[in-house]
Amino acid sequence: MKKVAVIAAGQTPFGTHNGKGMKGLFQEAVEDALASVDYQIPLNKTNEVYIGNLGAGGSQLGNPAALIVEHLGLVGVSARRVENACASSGFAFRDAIHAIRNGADMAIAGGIEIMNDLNSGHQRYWLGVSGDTEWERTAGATFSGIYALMARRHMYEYGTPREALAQCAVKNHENALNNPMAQFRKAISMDRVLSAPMVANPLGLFDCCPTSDGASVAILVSEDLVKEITDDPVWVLGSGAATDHLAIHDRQKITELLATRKAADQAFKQAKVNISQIDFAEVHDCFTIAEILAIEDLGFFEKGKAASEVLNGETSKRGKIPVNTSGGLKAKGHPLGATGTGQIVELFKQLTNKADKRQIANASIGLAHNVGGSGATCTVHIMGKGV
Amino acid sequence: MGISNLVRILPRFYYEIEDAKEYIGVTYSTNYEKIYTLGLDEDVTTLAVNTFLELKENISFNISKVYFYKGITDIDLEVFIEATNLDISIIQILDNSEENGLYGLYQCSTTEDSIFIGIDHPKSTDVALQGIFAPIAIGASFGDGSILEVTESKEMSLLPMLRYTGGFFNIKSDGWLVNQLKSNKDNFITNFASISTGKKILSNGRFNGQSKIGYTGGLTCINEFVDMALSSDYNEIDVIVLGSSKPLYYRYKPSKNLNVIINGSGKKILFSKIILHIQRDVDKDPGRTAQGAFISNSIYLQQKKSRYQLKAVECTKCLAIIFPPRKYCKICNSLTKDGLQLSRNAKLYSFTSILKGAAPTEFDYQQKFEGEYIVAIIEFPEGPKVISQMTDVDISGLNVGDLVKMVFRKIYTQDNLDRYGYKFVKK
Repeated sequence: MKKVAVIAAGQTPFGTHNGKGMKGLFQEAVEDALASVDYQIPLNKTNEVYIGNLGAGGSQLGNPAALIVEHLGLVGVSARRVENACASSGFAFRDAIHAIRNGADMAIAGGIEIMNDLNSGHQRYWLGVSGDTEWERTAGATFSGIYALMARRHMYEYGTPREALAQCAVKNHENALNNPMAQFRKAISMDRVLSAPMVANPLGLFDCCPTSDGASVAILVSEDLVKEITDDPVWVLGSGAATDHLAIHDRQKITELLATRKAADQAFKQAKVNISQIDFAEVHDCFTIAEILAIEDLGFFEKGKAASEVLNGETSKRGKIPVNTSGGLKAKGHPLGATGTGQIVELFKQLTNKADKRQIANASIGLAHNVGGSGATCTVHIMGKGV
Repeated sequence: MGISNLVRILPRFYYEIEDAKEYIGVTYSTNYEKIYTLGLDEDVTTLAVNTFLELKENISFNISKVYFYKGITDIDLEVFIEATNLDISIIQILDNSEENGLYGLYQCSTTEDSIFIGIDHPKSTDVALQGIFAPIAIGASFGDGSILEVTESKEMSLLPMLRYTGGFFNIKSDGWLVNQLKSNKDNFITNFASISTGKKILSNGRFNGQSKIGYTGGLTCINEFVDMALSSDYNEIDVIVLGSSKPLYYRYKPSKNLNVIINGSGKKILFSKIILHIQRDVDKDPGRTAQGAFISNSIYLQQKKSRYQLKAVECTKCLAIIFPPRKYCKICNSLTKDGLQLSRNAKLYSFTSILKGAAPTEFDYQQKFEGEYIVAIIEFPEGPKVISQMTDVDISGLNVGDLVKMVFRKIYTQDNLDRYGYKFVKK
């Protein structure tokens, strides 16, 4: 199996980008990626392009990938849209890895979403389509509602305090202060989180990620081609992906995401590293409870035990395992289709020592965890430097 | 023997009592447990279905014949039959005429194991009659008030408590009512039909001519109910008032003789439990097409056995009970077959509330009038879990592990079609 290197990664700021459209926004992400390294990247060697996208507000549901590569000057290259809800570009990244392992020289994986130029009715339209619509939606459930059901049960089964959830938000906002690409670069206090209005009890406003516009991209090459470009790339060590029952009520337990456990298991086996070797992780914190579930299901903490570790600061930049140094979905923003490769951007920056004020010293192995919907799809990627 | 086993659903009870206070200075010793406003998710169809489900759960009865009287408005006969799993072969559907409604009732009184179901009868008085004639009757109506004229008549005293007009009631009888009915059947049929409808029943069960008695209703009924209770040994009357009405329709001045009946007793009546359902005066759900994920009517209705009756499937290999149904077992992937109907009684596994304005657009109407609503995961004793709304409850009253019960309710309206299904209430 050929080794796969990531030679560049970049993104637009996450937030509001009215009027740019899909092509303009994606161009910006690619330009940022090309500028992120001091070597030249022969984009014309691209064999395959994978674009993660949920719907971009319905503006270009069909054939967006062709439009996007056309505006990258790559007309003619094989390209497609990849859709797995919020895990779309996690899967796009995985598909690009497989393309290289199967003989491609260069592949582009990216993601894009435009959510903020929609009115609230249209926003609800695009947020309510990724659960089991026949049963969850007809019960009136929303995504915040589904995660709230998980949170309530987690609190019931493990005594998880509300404050542990809030701490995830507080910590991620603090991390985002040092990320110029983040949507919210503003610290919030525990009190503010706890006293915010309820969106889906027990989850309040600050337990939820924002709606965001944005694009992100990673450029992958084979071990053969990488030698012509750089001596010191970031390597993909392991890729794992899994699915689970789409509807929450069909799952045996709702206090864990089985897809995360399965995907992590695959990724760790492939990477031949163990959990203690991971220096930092970007996890899918679309809601604060999701970060608790993720760090338990990935294996950083035992099931039901993450809350106290979070409250002790063990997931902060100075803790045992820094989680979401970028600010996470919570504060960096969550443009659905762009989130998966957005996490890869943070891994790339940390591993190439370009994360500025949020840089983790001597970071050599990072993990990215991307979830679709309420856990029906998931990817886990492990990347490393100098290995 | 007592009336506590009689679950009676009275429409205008609350207003009758208020009227009595206002006009004749009578004060009942009432203990209103709850004045309940009929939910937006309830209508005549759901009231009738839920009553049937309660009946079936609480008393065992074999039904050999069902006389189904279909009223003129808003009745969804098909939904009722699907939701109650009634055997279509025993159902006789009576067409929309007053005489047919009464004829069905009359047939019920002469046929063992028969049941009368009347929904949304144009004349609410006839719905009341169901209780007189049929051993078991279910009726639902948002009565429009009929003609409220209090008339004194000696026939009324036969069984005054049965003469409630309008609304919806069922009879959970220990045999008392049925026995009364049987021993007085001829009188009942003749007199009560005429009291209520102004028409005489002939020996062939058909109707003919005008009775001089005419319509009755209103406070008469309440007073005679009280009167009957006073003349018996009942000191406590367990009454569930359940119905719906618009108050203004029922404001009228009662006649003087009723005053005597009430004041003459000197006994104190304790209504131990009164629940009043009032239909909300709101515009109907416009039922726009949903934005976003669109569940077509054909998909929705294809699953109606599950949505209406909680029908599950069973794995042919590992015997797991699976809900919602699917072709292959979600545990061992073997073929499944039609399985049992899940228990209506279940447990609250987890719950949340959906902020007003955050719900999918098809719930806009519900949120406009009710604000946030509760979404829960329910765990059945048979194993499956399901996601559903909780209704008639505030989130502060809920805890994981609470016992809950399935009720049949309206879910939302889409493309001008009401969609029904299960919701859960706290037990």
